[in-house]
Amino acid sequence: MDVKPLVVENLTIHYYTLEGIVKAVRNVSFSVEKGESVCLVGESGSGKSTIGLAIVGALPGNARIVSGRILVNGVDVLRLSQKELEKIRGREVSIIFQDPAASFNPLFTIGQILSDVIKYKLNVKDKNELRKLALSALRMVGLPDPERIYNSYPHELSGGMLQRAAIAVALSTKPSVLVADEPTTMLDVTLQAQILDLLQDLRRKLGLALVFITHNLGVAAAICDKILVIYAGSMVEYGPVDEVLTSPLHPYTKRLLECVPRSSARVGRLKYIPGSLPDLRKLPPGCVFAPRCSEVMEVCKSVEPRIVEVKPGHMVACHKYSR
Amino acid sequence: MHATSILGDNVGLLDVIDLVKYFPIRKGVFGRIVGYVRAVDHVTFSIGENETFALVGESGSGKTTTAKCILGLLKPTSGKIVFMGKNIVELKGSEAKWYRRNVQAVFQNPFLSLNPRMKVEDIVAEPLKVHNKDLPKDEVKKIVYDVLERVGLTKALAKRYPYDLSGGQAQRVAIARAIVLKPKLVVLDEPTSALDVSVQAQILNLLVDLKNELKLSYLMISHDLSVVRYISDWVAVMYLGKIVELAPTEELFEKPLHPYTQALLSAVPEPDPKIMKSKKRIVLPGEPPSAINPPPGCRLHPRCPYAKDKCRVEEPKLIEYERNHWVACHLYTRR
Repeated sequence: MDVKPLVVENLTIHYYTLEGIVKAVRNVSFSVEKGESVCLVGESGSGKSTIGLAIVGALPGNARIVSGRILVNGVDVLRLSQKELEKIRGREVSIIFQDPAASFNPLFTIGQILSDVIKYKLNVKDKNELRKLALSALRMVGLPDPERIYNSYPHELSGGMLQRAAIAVALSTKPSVLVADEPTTMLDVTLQAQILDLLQDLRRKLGLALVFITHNLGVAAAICDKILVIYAGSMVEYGPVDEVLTSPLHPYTKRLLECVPRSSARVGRLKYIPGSLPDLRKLPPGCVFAPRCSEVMEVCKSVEPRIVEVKPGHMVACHKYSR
Repeated sequence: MHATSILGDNVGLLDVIDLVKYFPIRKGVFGRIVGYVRAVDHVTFSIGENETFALVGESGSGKTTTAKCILGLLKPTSGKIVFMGKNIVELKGSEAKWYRRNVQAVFQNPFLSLNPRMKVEDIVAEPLKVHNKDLPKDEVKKIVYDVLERVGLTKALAKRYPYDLSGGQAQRVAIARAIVLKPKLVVLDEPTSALDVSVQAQILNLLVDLKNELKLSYLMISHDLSVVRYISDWVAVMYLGKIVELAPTEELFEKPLHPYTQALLSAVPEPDPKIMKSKKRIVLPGEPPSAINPPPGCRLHPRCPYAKDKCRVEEPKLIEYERNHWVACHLYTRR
């Protein structure tokens, strides 16, 4: 049987701060098949980026993984030593971020950065071979004139080109899992469309398992197979993208979709979700969404809902659906 | 009154006529001018009373530069900005103050636009103090608290500092500061781009309510076409310093004429898998060229799928192709 490239099980992550323990991620589970893309969707503070960082083993020092497993090609990366982790990070799992300009060292050319990654991660010593691999990585992401890009410094490239270069660096080691943390948020819509197309294309061609983190439900609809909706660190709904977006089950997903203005039709007055995110240091008992939920019941205020499979592959954590 | 006054006799609340803003590029020890960034290149439009006019376009299209010229933060290279019959480029003294009182702004990031060392109530009171020095203290306080209540903020928040507010609350404070003088026009520069969707919806609703209640006009600068469709009456699409299309909102979204507008609209992702699958995507290759040496002829021609020989040499004029629907493209000739 094939091992899934990425399996996340019951992941719980806390941040230790001077103001208390922030329960950023609680009991999140999902898996990604080869060539599949799963979107983590949520608003600021939902914990989506924390999950992304945990997958690549790059959590900040004050974060503790309280429980759970992250299996990359069957290996639990949370149990590895730093040295063993180095062999997986950047090799089997890569990440790209929102601001490509911040992910490049401005003092090195794209070519130097790219060759360094290939040199250390793939153990390639031969200079000509290195250059060849770097150029082919630049070509793979559709950058025109790779020779010129190879010799360019980050500030000489536009945002769209730089994000392509970041994708080239991330994929130059041929990883099986790519985490993309809001990679198109800073780009204009036409460039966003180009980058989304590129990621779709590469995912199919290379059989990448793609974890795509976004707050934009439209972007999620454009790129994912499955969607995982997170609210205040808890997964509230998980399922195929078509189902979650056209017949959402969880009240949070429903309300969130109603908030979004559409370019395809003029809507009447926009709905909104009253209240604000709970304090992640003092979580309410019961369902985290209960204080803002319009369909709240008595049980929601005291008992935390378990995630249940309502339809095949479509899961939701809400008392309305638990029997 | 509306944008037909681009060339007609009608006068709007604010008429931008043939606005040009070039930024010189200097080089060498003597600061010799070696070229210009043509940020805004002959732009004309008009905003009517109680109307929301949106300028949309991608980075570098000149929409923010246009807004800065209107706010008086930049001096135009040439052209006129006429507000209630007066050319504001030449205003001085009390007349300039009158203009600033009537035209206010809300920016993208409230944490950058609010003074971190001032309390919310002082932030909102400041415009009153500047423009009406004789107003008694308790009167100021009353107005401030009324305005804060109007934008949906509780009294308890008035004593707080900006860092103590959420993004949505801070943006409400910025809106309160903008409307406290009862202006005629508010420039909204990406007012919801930094907010989460659930908060964005609240702010957009608030803006719509305020517009109706206070008979405000908005100049909305945005790259988010979904937001623009929700909030505006008129839309002008800018590309490399030029308006390429201008029409009432529904007309523009339902019948986009310019290839650039069509591409822009087709690139917006929608949270509806059915629409995403049926959508015909028009992909423009490459990225917008630099505004230092814009391409000759039509500025879109290097990326346009319909470019003809004429597009490479002759610059298309903005024409009224259908009633109220203006487009600058050689595919459309005046009928």
